Amino acid sequence: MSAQQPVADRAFAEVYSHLRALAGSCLRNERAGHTLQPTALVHEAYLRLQKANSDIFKDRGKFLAVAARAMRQVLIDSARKQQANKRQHHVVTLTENVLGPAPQNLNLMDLERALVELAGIDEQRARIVELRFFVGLSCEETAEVLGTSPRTVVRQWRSSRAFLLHRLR
Amino acid sequence: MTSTEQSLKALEWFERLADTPAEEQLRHLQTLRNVDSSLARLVEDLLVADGEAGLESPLELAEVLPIEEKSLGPHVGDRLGPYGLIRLLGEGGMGTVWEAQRVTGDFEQRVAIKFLRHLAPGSKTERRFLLEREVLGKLHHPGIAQILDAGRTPAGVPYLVMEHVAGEAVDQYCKRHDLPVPERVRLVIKIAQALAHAHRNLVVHRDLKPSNILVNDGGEPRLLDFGIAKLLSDEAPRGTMTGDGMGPMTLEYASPEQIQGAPITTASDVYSLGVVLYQLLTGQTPFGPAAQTPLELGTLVVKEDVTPPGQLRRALRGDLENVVLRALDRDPERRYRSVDAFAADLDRWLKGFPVEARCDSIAYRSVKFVRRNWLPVTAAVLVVLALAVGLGIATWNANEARKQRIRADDHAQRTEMVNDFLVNLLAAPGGRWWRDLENKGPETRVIDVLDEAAARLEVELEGAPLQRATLHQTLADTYLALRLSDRAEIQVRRALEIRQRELGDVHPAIAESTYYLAATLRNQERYDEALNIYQDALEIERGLPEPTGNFPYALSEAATTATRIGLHTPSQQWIEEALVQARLQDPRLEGLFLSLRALFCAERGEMELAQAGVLESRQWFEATESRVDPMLLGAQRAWAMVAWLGNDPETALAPLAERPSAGLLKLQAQALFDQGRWEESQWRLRDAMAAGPTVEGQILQARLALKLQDDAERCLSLAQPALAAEEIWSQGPTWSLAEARSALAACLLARNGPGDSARAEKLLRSAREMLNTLFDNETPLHRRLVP
Repeated sequence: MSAQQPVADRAFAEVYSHLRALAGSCLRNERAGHTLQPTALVHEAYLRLQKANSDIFKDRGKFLAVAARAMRQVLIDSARKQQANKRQHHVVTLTENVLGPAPQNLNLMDLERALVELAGIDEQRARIVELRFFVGLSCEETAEVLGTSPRTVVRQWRSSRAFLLHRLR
Repeated sequence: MTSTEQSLKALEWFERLADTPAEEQLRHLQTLRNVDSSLARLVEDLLVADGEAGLESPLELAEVLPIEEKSLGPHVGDRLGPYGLIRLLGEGGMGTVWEAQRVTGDFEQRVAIKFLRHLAPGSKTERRFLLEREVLGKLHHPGIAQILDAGRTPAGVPYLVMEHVAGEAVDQYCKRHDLPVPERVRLVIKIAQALAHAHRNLVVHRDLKPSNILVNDGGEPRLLDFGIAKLLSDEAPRGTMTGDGMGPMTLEYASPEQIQGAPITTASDVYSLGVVLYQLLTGQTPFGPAAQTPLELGTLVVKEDVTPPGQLRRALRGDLENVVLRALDRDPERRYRSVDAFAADLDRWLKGFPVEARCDSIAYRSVKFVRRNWLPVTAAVLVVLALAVGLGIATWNANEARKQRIRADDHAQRTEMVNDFLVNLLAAPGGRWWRDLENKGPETRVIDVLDEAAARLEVELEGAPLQRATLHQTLADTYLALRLSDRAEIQVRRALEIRQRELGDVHPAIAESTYYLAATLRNQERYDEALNIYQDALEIERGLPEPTGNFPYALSEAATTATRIGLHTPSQQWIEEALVQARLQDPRLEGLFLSLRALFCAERGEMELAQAGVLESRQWFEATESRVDPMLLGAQRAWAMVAWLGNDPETALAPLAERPSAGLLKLQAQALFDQGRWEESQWRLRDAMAAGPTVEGQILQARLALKLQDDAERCLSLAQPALAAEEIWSQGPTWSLAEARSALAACLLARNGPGDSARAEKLLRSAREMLNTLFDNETPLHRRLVP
């Protein structure tokens, strides 16, 4: 499944719009020292949707599966937007030196491409990435959502991560 | 198998191998490679990527989503304590760096302020940031970018105020300024000193690389980025700082123990600094070019010895190479015990002293010795030979020669080839051939090495006669420099023979060999033969479409030889032509040849012309401010000679050179003798003779034996053969023949045996006549005629 495919799914649309709104407001009010992890957003979205009494969100596992895809889509959309407004960066030698390596300096568009490729090789591994990386689920939680063993998730998450890192290099 | 299937297989293989030890991984990969190399390659890619940083923890939105800048970032003009932000220098994953200026107080100070953003308490980033702050707070050294202040903004963003370092990475700096090797070494010494300061404060940098070493406009290097530094005093932060062994270090500069995750000590910084030096010298890191993947790179660093820098740039062979290799030893125990020791050895190299790092083998000693004597031979050989016996610059100190680069271009290629030959064929340890030498133990002498080289050359390079000729030629140079003229002659004749066979009669290479043959003969004091060969060489030169770089030297040497045996007319013609050719070929030669012309004038007695010539050449040197040692030494020798013959001992004795040549020493010994300062004269003469014995020197020795020891017999034993030699050579009047006769006369008068006095009278009379023929004015030599 690719997040770039049009998604007719109502649940997806609902989660997506909530997540996007949440992400936007969180970022605007961002305070220093406050981490912004997707888990928090997804959790927040879950609570809101539950309040809105959507049936599909009675099942937490099902919700998370949808939320993971939605989260991925939110991020890609914002990355596209970002890329469109992006000004040319000057490379300043001092920066690199003083700032040191920045391993998390991630290009989401590249990540998306790699993830689509991974999904083409093995769907489950791509889902694991979504749940682990975009939603921040633990291996146990991920295993629960996918109905597999935590050990398998640990193993496949590691290989998927290596795969993505190699593609991102 | 489709590529998708193969990729899935690779993922599964990876999952099987990921938790096994590296050794086992490599073994499995090798097996897999034999079966399916492209699959093996995919698996390796994954294993390598697995060690890299990234994607470990769930994404932080703030790191990828656009940020409303107003909400967080500092702005131009913002005040932060006493500092006002001027401009953004850069930004990265960890935060932003601003240039700022102190706005309060009396002094202007530029600083760099580093802000962190999105700081999760306890995050890796924060820990690193805080550690850097702690580490830098301990260090105060001009070579380390200083931390000035630290704190949090009102919004709670932590920041560091640091000295603003305007400069460029050390490798770029060296490249842009095209710095010569000694300057690069000096920079590394400075870096080492800064690093030593950190080590004394129990801080290991752990991420030394050119981009962390900035050099400012004044050429002063500064160390930056102690972000992954380690406090030796405090073991706690170690694990937390880099997580595991594979921290955010830079593989190309990391030490083997760093890659293996072994304990890090100051020896790791010695290694990394060694890599930086290696790169500054060779233009590449030791394993960078060989490795295709980081895994390969890591494996090479851990398992392989560094390619000696000399194999990349031959000029680096020798001591400097040994220093680099010592710093890059895979075993931390065998590296320099400190960066101070590393710096000290580099300093020794700069000053031309033996380095600590040299390996104490016979191969090393001999080659080292050859090379020490090689420089005069390869770089300065033509100058040396041109001025050698007759004009007195007989020997060259390697340091002087190293500085002289005038003719180095012509010889660079040869030097390379010879070094190749010597190092590859001779110095290859363990070969049968070397064992023969080793059996002779520490008694092995350079001459043995050269003789072996000569023997070896006869059987080597069968198919490359011209190359062989070049090597024969160079061996000849070396023998000449070591005053082994008979051996030199054999070699140069071999070279000439081969070249004539291969190239015909008129060719620059033939001119060269002919000219060397002449020099060899002259060194053996076979002046007549030498002069004939010189004439041949000049004739070949004139037949060439364009004269070679040797031509002016060949002319002046021919002139010297002619003067030596009293043939003043051809000598005069040749030295005039030499001056013309020198001017045509290289304006830098003019001063030297002007002074040589003055010297020839003095030797044939035209003192007024000589003095005018000295003045002219002095003015040339003053105007051009030329400090090229061999040129100046040659000129100074000529000036001193003119001064001495012109009854101006003060000028002759003026401390003209920091390192007087043998010729100059000999002249000063003459001048001191004339002043009755015999002890000093003898002292100087001894130095001169040690550097290059000559017949004139021996005559002076005879006189000193008489004056100092009143030893007529010894005087005779020295003067008689000297005079015999002079008589054989001389075909016209020369001052040295007159002086030899006059000295022998003095000995005879002192001995006062039967018939001595009459013989002395005869000798004195002929000496006086000869001096009168030569000189219009009275010279110190005339005064020596009076017993």
